[in-house]
Amino acid sequence: MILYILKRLGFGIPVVIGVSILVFLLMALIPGDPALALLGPYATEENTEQIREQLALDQPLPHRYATWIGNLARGDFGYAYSVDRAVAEEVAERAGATLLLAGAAFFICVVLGIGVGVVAAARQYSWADRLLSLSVMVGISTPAFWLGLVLIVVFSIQLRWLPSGGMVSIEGGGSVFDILWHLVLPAVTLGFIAAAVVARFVRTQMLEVLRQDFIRTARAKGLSEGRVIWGYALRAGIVATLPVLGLQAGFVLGGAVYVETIFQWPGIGRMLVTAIAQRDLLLVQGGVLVVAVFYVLVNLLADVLQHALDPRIER
Amino acid sequence: MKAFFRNPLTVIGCLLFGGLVGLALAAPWLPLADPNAADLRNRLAPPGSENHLLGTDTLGRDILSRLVWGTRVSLAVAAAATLVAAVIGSLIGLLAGFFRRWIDTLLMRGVDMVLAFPYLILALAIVAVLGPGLLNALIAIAIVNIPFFARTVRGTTVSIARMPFVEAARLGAQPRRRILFAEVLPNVLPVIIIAMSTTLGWMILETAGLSFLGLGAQPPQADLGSMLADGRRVMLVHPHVGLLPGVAILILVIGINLIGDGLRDWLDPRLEGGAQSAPGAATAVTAKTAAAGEPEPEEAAPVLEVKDLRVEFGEGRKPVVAVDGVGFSLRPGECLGLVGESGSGKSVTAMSLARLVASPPGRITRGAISIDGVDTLRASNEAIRRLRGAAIAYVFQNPFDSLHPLIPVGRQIDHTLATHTTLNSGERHKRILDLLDRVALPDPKATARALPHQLSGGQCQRVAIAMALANNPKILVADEPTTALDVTVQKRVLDLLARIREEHGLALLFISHDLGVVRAVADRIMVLRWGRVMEEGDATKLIRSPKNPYTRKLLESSPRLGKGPKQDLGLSRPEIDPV
Repeated sequence: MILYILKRLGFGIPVVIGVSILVFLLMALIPGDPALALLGPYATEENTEQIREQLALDQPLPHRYATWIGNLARGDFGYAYSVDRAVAEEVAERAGATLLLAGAAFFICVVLGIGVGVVAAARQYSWADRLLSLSVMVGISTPAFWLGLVLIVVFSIQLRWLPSGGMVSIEGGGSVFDILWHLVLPAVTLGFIAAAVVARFVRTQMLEVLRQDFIRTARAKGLSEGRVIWGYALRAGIVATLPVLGLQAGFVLGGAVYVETIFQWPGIGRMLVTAIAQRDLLLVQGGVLVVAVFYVLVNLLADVLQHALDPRIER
Repeated sequence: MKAFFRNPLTVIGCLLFGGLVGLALAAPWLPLADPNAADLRNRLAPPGSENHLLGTDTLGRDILSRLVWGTRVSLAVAAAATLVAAVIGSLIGLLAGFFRRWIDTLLMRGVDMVLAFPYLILALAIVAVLGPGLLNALIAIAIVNIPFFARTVRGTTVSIARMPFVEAARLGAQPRRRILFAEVLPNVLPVIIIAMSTTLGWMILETAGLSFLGLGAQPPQADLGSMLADGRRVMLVHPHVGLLPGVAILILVIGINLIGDGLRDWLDPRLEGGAQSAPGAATAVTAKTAAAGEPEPEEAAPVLEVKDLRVEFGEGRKPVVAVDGVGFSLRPGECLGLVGESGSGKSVTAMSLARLVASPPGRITRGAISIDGVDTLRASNEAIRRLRGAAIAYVFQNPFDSLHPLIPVGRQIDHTLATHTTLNSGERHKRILDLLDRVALPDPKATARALPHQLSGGQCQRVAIAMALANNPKILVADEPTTALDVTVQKRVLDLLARIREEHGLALLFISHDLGVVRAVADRIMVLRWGRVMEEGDATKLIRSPKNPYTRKLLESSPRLGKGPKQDLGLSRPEIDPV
């Protein structure tokens, strides 16, 4: 098992390097003077000179990449002029908010997606199944940014139950309860939509599993239907679902951009949008890199988990 | 094509999508207000206003007209992005899947790199580099969707390139390029079309998303996403301005997804057969069934009685009758062999006893079954469940598939013990080891911890038998228990069953297509064909002088009954096998 984890980590390293090369190339291939491109509207004579030297911009590409990676390894992601602080600081501060939102949404996605998928499969063609399948169809077709608006209109404006944006109340905010209170709507928005894809996959997967011989054996043993479905069938069906959950982690991280924008959640997604609008490419670069590396790690975890749940898988 | 439109959901999808596309295409000729004509006196008119069916936006522009024109923009961008991604992605997939080797490695590693990003984050990075704008958004969205096409198409190409007609073309003198585009591509095309229908929906959502973030359509140009962003600013008082464009996106994408599902079922029925269904907890019993009758109070009363059983499959006017009028009874210690070819109804009969026939499509339409005094056709699902694994236990044909592949076999036995007894976990553990020992498994402790794939077929079948014996059943149903096993293993498992029957005084219902095997264990034999009883009687007599011509045929086709060393496997005198 430990050997397997190490092996997967080994496979992860080239992926992370590939990701960094891709991000580097994206920024390096902008036509024109790279220093001016990176600095955009913040280019003064002084910092143009500084960044040329710092990133070895007059050197050939491989050299530039090595310099850039060297800087990253020291935690130097450059300076974000649009917010007037180091990129690393800005990203680190916002990463927490995004992780909280994405984590909560992912939790909803897993619980709701698997729950709906299993129930729909266990009662295939019943009214419950039809209703759930219809909701899932609407779910995978709904734009996250629109659902966010609908929830705000209903729960914040009409019913006044939940706050419409921000992460803490302006007055007396900041307690754990206060943050959770603000988390509900954005997490539900993102989680619901992410859950739809999972539910659809789990339903198909469970229908496949429920026709297997070992399910008949489980019933022949006299196990309760609950045990047969949630114990035996789901235990077998969950393995193939893990890669889909990995994909949905990416969807949640990406979708956070919309949801953070709608709910003014102070995370990396909203930071990226603002940074793009203000043409602060160094900040964009740092944010994209951190999110991508995190996503690679999540997929590694999904892979290891899949191996742990099904030792027959050898890859 | 008819099949495509048979699904009502597909028809709804076509109507939704077709309707919106029709409106968008016909926009220049429709009697709509100028979508860009601002009218500041009529700002934010509510839906249903005079001249403005859906109201006006922040600048007093007609929302209906803007929706139609905005849909046009969104659709055009999404369709173009789909086409670009499909062409480039499919080309990558075709080349990688057809030429393999270094081309495959190079292209697919590149694709993997792109997939390592959450796609929206990558799209944002691309827009950041290219700068905001509708065309740049289109490029970004096309790029992030290339991997999906590349992977899907590669997979299909690899399997098609291995097919005989492609191999044949390769052996001929045809240039490879021609084979790829003339032989392989047409066969990959359905997959590409399905993938396009899937991505078109994503593309619409993503284009709208980028525009919503202010990175796509720039004013005065507007698509559904930027209209939504526009309306968001006045959401507090006039929610309709922002919500209506979202509704348009939703309808468009639902339509596409419904069509996509229909396409997939139609072009590639392997992906999700609509007909497959998950069986419920117990076989349905329809129509009136006779009462099973009180068990007779004599000493050797039957533990199992079946009368006039009829089982049907499928719905409609002409259901298939799998079992028709079968009846028998079984006393403790007795063994009845059910014999017949596949499709003769022998397994269905056996499964019907504890209502294990998959339902749907199966259902019991007539008869009476009594297990240990319980009328199973009239009993509740809960009462049936309490019988299963307790009074009546099953051993199935394929030992590998019959055990859960991911739960240690000891735990699987434990579950049936925990269900039917009040033993605590320590007592259950002892009992599990005892059971595994009784079926002559060499190392019970290690076996209990093993997963099925770590055991041999014969060992798995022994585990299955141990599991069946867990709660001291009165009836053991063995449905082709040796068919999937090697001949040498077969003999040992048969010996084991015979020994257990003797030790426990079990009533054994033994099912096989092989008269030779049945003869070795059964006291009585019942021959089934087409769901009907052909002949029934004492095993020795029936074998010696079969009355029914079908029985004679079965006897002739049974290899073990010819003369020679195979004639008697020594099965009738069970011995404890050494393993």
